[in-house]
Amino acid sequence: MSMLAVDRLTVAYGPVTALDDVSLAVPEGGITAVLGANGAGKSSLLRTINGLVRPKAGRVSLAGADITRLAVEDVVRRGLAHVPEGRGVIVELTVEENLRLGGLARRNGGEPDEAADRVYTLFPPLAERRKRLAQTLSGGERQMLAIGRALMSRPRVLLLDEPSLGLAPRITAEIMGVVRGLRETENLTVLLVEQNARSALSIADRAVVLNVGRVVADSPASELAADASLRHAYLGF
Amino acid sequence: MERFVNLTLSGVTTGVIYAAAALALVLIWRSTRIVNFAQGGMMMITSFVAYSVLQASDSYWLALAVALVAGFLLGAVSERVVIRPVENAPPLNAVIVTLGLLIFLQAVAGMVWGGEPRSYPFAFGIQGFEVGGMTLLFSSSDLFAVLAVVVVMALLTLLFRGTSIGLRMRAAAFAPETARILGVRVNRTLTLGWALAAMVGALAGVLVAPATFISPNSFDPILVFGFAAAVLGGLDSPLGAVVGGLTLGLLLSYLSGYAGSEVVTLGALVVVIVVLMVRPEGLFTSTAGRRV
Repeated sequence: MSMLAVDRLTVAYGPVTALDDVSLAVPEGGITAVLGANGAGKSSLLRTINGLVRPKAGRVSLAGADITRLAVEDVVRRGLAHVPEGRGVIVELTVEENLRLGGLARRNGGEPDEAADRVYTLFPPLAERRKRLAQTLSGGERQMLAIGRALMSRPRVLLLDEPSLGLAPRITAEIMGVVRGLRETENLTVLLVEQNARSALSIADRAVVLNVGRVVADSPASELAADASLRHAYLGF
Repeated sequence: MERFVNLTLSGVTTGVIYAAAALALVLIWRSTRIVNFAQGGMMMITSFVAYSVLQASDSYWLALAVALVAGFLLGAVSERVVIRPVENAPPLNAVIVTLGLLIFLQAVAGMVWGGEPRSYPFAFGIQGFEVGGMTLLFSSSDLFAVLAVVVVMALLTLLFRGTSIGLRMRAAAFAPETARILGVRVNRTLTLGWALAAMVGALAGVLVAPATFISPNSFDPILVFGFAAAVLGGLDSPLGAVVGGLTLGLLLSYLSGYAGSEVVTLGALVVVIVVLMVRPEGLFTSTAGRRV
């Protein structure tokens, strides 16, 4: 059974259709990349999965349970954490407060301090800056904080929206490495939205390509990376 | 010198009350981006409630406690019933709704308590303290007012900085969508924010009532002073509200002492205009300058 399944999802903002009959599935412990140009519907997909946007039709399920109509505040309590685009750290709060906030909607208990320690181990730069305002962090550190904060809720599924946006390739590789490590150590399921197809394909096992709200390809990441015509048409490399 | 000391002391006393009124406005502004024009009306209702409890029980402390609880409930109910529908609407809608709420509250007060001003007692005596043969314009009631506001500020700071409810409220105020993604029920934090704001307002109302008396319109000037203090401190900053309130209290006290009491309201408005012209973001603020 899929950990996360999206079934024939259609989303419209007024007359504009953002997603048109989109289906995809991520198995437990899988990393699926959603690729496509700006405006392809990638962020809409994540925002619909997590409950911020209501779909016109279709269904989202998490570990077999229908979560389509759940509010975003409840979805996180079911074990689905979202790292929003542009990192979304709250710059007026300290690193520590951002993490504490992420731990407030924790799934099945556990000590929040333990969870924070784990994040500091994963991302050592955060440990040195725990009392600082998030405002003072670099782009890469903010991305680490956003991911770390999502991990505080002990999610089963992590939605990552454009984690490489505006980051140096070295930092991007470091962050992707941590995400891959989380899959290996905790069997975390990841749905990764990226414009940077090359870096996403480096860690994904499966890739879905969106174009103007429709799925135009859904295949193992290695096959997609090898398909020159598809790459040229939709991914620009 | 004696005059200066006394003007300073009375400036501090009125300043803390302005600070409390400003804090009520700031708590609401920073979470909902709404200037609560009904604040004066809410303070008036809770003061009338305190007046009625006082009449019935003859206990200042019971009246104060009931006023605070009434403020909490009035704030929560106002948010749920009239503010929630306009929270995501254009800002002007909220302005009209809070003005409408003000008129509604004043009308209700007129029906229940009548239009005649009612007097309200001080907490303790009004005999000024004697220091070195000089009688200060600072009584035990004034001391109580200052301490009460200081304690409320300290409790609010503790709530915001030291508890997870406070963390949720701050997150919801700074970044509502991100807060929701992290599981914060932003609707609840907004209700709680209005409730706390109205409770702080209720305290300000009871403290200022002996000076203003209580009638349906008697707290309108306090809204002007509270707003001036909030703008001076930066509408976003609780600390700014406190500093703004004290600064304004002192400024207006000197103005009234040296230039005449008739220019005090004018002085408050001049402060608003000068701040908005020179430093629109206020003295303390966590965000960039507002466009005005």
